Amino acid sequence: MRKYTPTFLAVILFSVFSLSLAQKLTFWHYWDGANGQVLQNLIDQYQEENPGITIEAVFVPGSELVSKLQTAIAGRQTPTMAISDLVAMPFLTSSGALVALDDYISESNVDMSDYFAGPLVYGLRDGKRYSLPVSASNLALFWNKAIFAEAGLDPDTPPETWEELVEMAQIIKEKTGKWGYELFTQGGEGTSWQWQVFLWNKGGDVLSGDLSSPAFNSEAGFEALQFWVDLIDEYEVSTVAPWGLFGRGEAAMVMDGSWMTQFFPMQVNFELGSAVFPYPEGGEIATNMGGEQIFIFNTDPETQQAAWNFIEWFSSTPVQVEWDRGTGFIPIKESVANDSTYIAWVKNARPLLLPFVESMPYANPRPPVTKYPQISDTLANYIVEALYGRMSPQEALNTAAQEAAPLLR
Amino acid sequence: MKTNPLRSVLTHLLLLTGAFISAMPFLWMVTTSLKPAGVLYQAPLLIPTYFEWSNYVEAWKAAPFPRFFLNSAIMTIGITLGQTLFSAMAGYAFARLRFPGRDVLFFLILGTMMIPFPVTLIPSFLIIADLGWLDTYQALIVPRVVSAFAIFLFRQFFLSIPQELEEAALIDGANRVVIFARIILPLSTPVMAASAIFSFLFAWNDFLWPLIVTNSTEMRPIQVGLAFFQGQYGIFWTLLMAATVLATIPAILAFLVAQQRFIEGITSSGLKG
Repeated sequence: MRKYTPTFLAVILFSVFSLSLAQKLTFWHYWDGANGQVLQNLIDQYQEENPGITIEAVFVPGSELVSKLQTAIAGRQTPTMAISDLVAMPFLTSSGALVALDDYISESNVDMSDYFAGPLVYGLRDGKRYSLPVSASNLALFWNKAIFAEAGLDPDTPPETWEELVEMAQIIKEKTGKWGYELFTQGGEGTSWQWQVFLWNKGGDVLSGDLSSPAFNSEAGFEALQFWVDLIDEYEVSTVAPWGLFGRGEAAMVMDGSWMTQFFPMQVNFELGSAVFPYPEGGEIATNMGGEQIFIFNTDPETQQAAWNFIEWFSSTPVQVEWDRGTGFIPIKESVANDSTYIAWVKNARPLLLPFVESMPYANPRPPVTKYPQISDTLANYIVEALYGRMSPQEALNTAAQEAAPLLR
Repeated sequence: MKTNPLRSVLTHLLLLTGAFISAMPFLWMVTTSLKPAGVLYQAPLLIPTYFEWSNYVEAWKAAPFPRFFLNSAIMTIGITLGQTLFSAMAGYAFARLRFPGRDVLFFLILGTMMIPFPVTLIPSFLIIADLGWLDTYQALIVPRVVSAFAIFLFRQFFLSIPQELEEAALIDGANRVVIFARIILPLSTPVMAASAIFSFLFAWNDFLWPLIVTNSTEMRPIQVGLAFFQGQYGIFWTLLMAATVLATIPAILAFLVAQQRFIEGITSSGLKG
């Protein structure tokens, strides 16, 4: 027995040592179905490359993730790390429960200039960065090729400008009786974030540069809203109706999200195309943007470091290429968007996605303020008032601005 | 009294309309669950014309549903038994026992029904977290084994039972426990069935609390499991509806069984219903 003792001791010491190295991290996310599976595969790969690290990915339904994080923060039962829709980031950074990432970013020499500017607006507070973008989605134009052909238009040529959009929509309305363009007229974020694209197209913005006051009631805003009203009343190519006309083949064009490049082909029985969203002559290309950000909760330095190591790996270009190919999310970094395997995959497997990838440099962030949801609701309510003709665009946007201003103080 | 045939036809027409309105969501759900995704928005919406049974297979495979059903069953049985027993006991005390502050206490309990759940969500979560109960069956069951509504239901029912029955038992030497167990409860099948069906449906359909207190897939009940199909970016309607049909079957069965007991209870209790 005696002669085995040193070996025995060494084994014990080694197991104690490796036990202290073994770390379990929990990661809350809302990536469902196939996307969740892609994440799990990547995590498995990471665990294989990093023995001793276990990452438990927990799916939480997207609609309830913020409530669950809120209770977890209050009860100090937070996971090691989590993701969230970028709109919730101002709320989360104000909770005081997140770790500032600046030191990790500079130690790991992360090239922040490789990231698209839009998503980086989120996760900042008092000059510190608390989150990194991990995925994006944005808006572009979809068109129904069957209706275009029926109206005698070239089914492979979408409009590039607002003027062409109106022209084509009018021909479609005249020849087929179908709606030319579907507007989101039911209020809420759906109306608000689509309209913001038209606002940016005209060179306007939602809030002032320092985020302290509403700026959508500008000349650009009035023109953008007037254009929506004109689509309904003047050109008669759009209507106020529940969302879904395009999906049922009753409208020829629509603005919708990059995720629909996956869903539309499953749900509709006509051929469709996608294009960068049209802009007014003399205006600017623009799109709105969604997506997720990843962040770490305050724990102990070792756990935080382990979480960062995973985030650094997950954010690296090769992993992001794999991630975006698997999920259909839009790249958050230029090196991913320009990656030859990625581009080849888009062109072969998901050609509808290409205009969305190309739109990413023109993706504007919705204002990163805690009260954004309320401001957006107010804005949408008055946009709808104008669409119904109960208020002029000026009146509607000025009233919305008046009601939104106190929310920013 | 002779029934007027026209009146009978009108009554049945009215009943048929009511039945159709109640059945419509179910028909829509079943029809959607059997459609291929491509014809989701196409008529007919209420009569199945496609029979894409693979939706059920795919939905069943998409998540660990046997485990979700088991968790839902354990949680629902626990809550239903607990609510029925404890609410009956509390209801009896409020109906029959005399103690200081009884009515104030009763109205305080009733008052809790006016507090919306989100207000108590975080405090309840903190208690569960302090007890170390997160991600356990206790967390799913224990906080919900009392129900102000069920206490109210039992108290009102017990008040309608004639005092004389209990007085006769008292004379025969029975104590409160015996009276409650041997006289009152056997007379209370209808209200127990009513209370149990409310508890069952509440527990089976509950979503937010189970989501907040569970973290692992193994502990989640069926309603949280259904959220797997409601993605952030799109809803898999055909799969969601297939899974929802499966999740609804136990609730419908429970309702049918309890409904039968409900009617039996009224006819056999010897009380005028």
